[in-house]
Amino acid sequence: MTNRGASTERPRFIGGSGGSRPTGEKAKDRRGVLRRLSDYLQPYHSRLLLVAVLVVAGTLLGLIGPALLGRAIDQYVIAGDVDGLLRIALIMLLVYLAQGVVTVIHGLMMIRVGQYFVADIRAALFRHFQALSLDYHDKHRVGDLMSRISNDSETINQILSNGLIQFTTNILSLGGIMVAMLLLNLPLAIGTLIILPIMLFITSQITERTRKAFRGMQKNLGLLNAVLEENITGIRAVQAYAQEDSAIAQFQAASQAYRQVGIRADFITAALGPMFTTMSILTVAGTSLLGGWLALRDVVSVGVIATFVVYVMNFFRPMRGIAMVYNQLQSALAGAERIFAVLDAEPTVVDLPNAEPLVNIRGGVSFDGVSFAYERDIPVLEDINLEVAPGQTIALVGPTGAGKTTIISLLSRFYDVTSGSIRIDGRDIRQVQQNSIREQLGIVLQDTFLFSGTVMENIRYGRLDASDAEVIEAAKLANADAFIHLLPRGYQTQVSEKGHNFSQGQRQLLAIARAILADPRILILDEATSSVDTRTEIHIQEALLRLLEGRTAFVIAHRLSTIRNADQVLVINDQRVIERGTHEELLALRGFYYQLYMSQYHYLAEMAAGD
Amino acid sequence: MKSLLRLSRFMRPYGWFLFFGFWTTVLPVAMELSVPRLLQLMIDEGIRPRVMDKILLGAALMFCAALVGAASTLGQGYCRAVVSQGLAYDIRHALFRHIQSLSFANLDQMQTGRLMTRVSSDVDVVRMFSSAGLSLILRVLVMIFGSTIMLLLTDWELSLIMFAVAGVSAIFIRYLMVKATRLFTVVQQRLGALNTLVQENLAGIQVIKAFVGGRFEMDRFAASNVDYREKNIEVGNLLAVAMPVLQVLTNVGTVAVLWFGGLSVLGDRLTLGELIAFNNYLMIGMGPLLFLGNLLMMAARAEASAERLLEVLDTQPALPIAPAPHQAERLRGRVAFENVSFHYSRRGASQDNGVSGDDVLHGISFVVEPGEQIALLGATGSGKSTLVNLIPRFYDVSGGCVSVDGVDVKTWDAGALRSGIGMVLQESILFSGTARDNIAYGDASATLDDVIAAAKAAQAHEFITGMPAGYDSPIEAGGANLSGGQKQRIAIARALLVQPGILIFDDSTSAVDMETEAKIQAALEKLAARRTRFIIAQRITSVLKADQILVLDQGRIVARGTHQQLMASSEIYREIYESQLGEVNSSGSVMRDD
Repeated sequence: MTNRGASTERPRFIGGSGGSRPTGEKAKDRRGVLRRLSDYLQPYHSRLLLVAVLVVAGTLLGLIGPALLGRAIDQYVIAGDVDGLLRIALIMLLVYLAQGVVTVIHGLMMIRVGQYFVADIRAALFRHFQALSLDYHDKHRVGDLMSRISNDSETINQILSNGLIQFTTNILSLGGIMVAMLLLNLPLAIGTLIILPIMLFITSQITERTRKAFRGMQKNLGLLNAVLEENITGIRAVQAYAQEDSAIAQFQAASQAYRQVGIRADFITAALGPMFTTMSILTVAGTSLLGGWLALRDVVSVGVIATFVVYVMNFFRPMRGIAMVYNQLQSALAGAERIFAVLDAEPTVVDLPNAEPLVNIRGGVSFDGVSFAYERDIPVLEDINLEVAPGQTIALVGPTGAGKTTIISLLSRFYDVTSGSIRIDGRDIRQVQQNSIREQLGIVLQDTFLFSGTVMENIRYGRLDASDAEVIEAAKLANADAFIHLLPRGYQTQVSEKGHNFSQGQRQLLAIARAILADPRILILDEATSSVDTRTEIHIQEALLRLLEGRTAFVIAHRLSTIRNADQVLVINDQRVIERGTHEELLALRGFYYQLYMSQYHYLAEMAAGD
Repeated sequence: MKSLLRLSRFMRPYGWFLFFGFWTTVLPVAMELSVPRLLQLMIDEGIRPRVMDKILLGAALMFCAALVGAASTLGQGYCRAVVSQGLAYDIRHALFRHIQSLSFANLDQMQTGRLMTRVSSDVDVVRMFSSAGLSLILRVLVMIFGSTIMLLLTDWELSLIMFAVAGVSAIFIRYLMVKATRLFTVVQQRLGALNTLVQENLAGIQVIKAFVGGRFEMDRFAASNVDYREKNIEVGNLLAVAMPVLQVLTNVGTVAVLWFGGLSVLGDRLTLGELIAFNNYLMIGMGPLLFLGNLLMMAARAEASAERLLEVLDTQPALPIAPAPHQAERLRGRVAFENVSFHYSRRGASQDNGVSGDDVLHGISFVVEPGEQIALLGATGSGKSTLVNLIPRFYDVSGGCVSVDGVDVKTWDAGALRSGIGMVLQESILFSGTARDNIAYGDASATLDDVIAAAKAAQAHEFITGMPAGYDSPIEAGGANLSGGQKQRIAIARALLVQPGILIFDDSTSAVDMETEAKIQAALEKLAARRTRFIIAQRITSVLKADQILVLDQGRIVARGTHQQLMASSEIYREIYESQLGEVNSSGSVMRDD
């Protein structure tokens, strides 16, 4: 939890631009990933089947064209049959038009399938993000999860909306061309197709190398981004310490390394495409040589040679296409694997199947032998016991890192206890629906998070069905109304990214208004008042006192006044409650609390006396 | 393509590579174009008259063409790689350097996440376009141009068909370009909106869970998701229709050539070999059009990226540099504000309270002598942070003058001025590296003893030595492995280490407990007694000993003086004092009862 604030500040790399580029990654379990992807495609199976039929039809029509050309030359041009030539020309026209129409139809269909499918995946991911418990979010960076929803899903879209059709078309074209060649003239076909295995070998070699090169590039890009991220997010510190030159030098080194790897990768890819052209020329040379030799022996006609040359020229585009799709497929599978990794993560805090909602609580809270560890064997809380009657205020006191925040996180059921139990009105919170618990809680967290949207919308987050008047009422109670009125557009003022156009104090006032609006039975305040200036805090204290009345409250605060007004003070140190009681009782104990208090008191008294 | 053209100045250093890249792109195309001609030779002079020698000659020539093509292809690959990677490197460098030179006023208006995307992915998009895109365009142009010439040479009458097809295609492509670019921009916008939503959700997941906002968020997401999907389908549809249409156009051309060419052969105006060659040229010339979809996407993307890059590069640093910047080894620490007023730039988000354009500071005047301690008090948004940000010239004043050591900060060399100021920002920014690296950030030549001394004064020594590797313990990026108070203490140590003439604490101890804060204060009094100190703090105990206390309210100084003077004269000050130190008096009574 302590890491949350920091990790959310990481910038993220979002693209839609990343999708088309091969990343050189490979999925670990390709077969499994494929099977699951196809499960997800279930709703689209019938449409995919139709697309497949159309693709086959379109490809065949595309193959008939050149065949007709050869016939036209041999049977009509050489023979001088004008009527026949006209007839065959019209047939060709029809074939080409039909091919065009079929291609348009399956193109349109596939775009829809691809986009719908990817939108489904994004939605599934987003839903799962919401379902996953906080421990998962604590461990995963925002940027990392973001890239799954944008980049990884995009790689799958690429393969679906474009790759699949390309792949099928290309395979069919290759097969079709081979069959057509074999049918047209066996000796010439065999002579031409001898080069095929050689081509395959070269293609696979180049593909493999490209993949490796891209992976290297990806790695270096990661390093570059890390440097970039730090120096841009920290730019104010860079400038404050006049360290621009060292930042630039650091960046330059990473940038240079990326360039070196990049040149290698680019060279391989840049050479790959035109290589196919070279091979196609070589094959045309071979085919026409063999064809000519055979023609002299009257084994083939000129028309057949012309058709063969067209076929050979058309042979290499599909080869190249397949190589490309293969790379795309690898990236897509790797992306899909990452997506599944998220979808497979189980929320650790789950409702029992028969869990009931927790409604109309009075606000009694008890902790019974509660222990907790974020990670095994590193306990954060040990054997915490407490009993709070409805309406009481509990102050949690202790050094930073003692576990105060964890206590209220457990009460909110952001995490489940490792052992022991927490009860609200006598009911174990693991037995009830987690959302219903939180609906009873008003939580003001350490770092106030504001969403982009208006001030009104941000306060309304406390209770989504609240009217404008109720929102304004809550803002008034939180003493936020005064400053909101000074904003250029009042309650309609836009909150910018993470609320940076508001001061920390203002953000906290808004968060308090949010909590007030939620009208909870149990109130949780986590050091929320620590950075509001004194005058503002006086107002907040007033508002909170009003709010606390009749509600159970857990407060983590530095302020003596809060602690003194609390019904119970729990002193927490080294994962345990070491002292408890009222302020006066604790002072009388002359223990840890007394020490803590006295050290501050002496300092204050000294300061006060010093003037 | 305006932005891409403007970026092309980055290509200038690579003139020779561009030159060779050009020819090594043209050469393979020329070789490819020679093939139908050679085939024609084989048919007309070899196969039909039955002369084996000519067939062999044709095949041999084709073989040579293939080899020349292959060799120049390798050269092309190398040139492309060098140019595009070099270009990307230079742009990245220019961007990064430029970003470093931007002032806080510029940065307020640019979100850091966006800046990063520009330096990394936008540059990459432009890079890919400069390699694959440019060579593809060149190739397509040479192909079309070359095959047109070959068509004209073979038979100019039949070429008219080619021109007709090309003309119609060109009009269609132009239409596509315009439409695709526009649609593509919309898609990018929707993607941006979707990303923002997801990002906020992930960053604020705890709040969402706390307020049970999951369903509400899912509805918002669903709307945005569907919107993005529909826009994508629109672009996809355009391309799904465009490609087959172009293909049909080419094929119609082929059929027309067959019909008219066939008639010409019958009329003995054309040989059979010429007809076949002609048909092949048509295929070669029109073939590249099929790459158009990719090319369009690439170009539209690259243009959009180039625009974003130029947006950054075109941003003028809001702080003009003085003609002869003032240099100084050390600051003495005299600071004077003369009738200073300030407002944040009207555009974009402003820093303090969203009241953009309105003055955040009015008529601020005061003088601080070297070694004095100044405390700033005031409500949230009263302008305290803004005021101290003017001293290192993170922003320029809107009116009046800020001077340090008698020199207007506008005429100071920014580096010299800031090196002399130790500033602890409100938000502690740490870098990945060791604890020692972070403390020595402002002065890489500092010895370990210097670092330890600074850390001790900042009360950071104890927890640093408690870390597994002490001062060599790694700090994660952003200080993710430290608590808020620990981060602040390292930031304070960093400021102390540079031995600044002026120290500025902008609410820098908010996450440190009171006891530690007191120790830091005590250490400061010893260590930094001769330095000018500006302190913004919420706790009144931090300001009691200041030589001057300025109380700010809504951008104005409403009271000033020492603690005693203010207790006597300022009601606001008394109010603040009572609210905090009143506690001691009343709890003191508890102690007496005890």
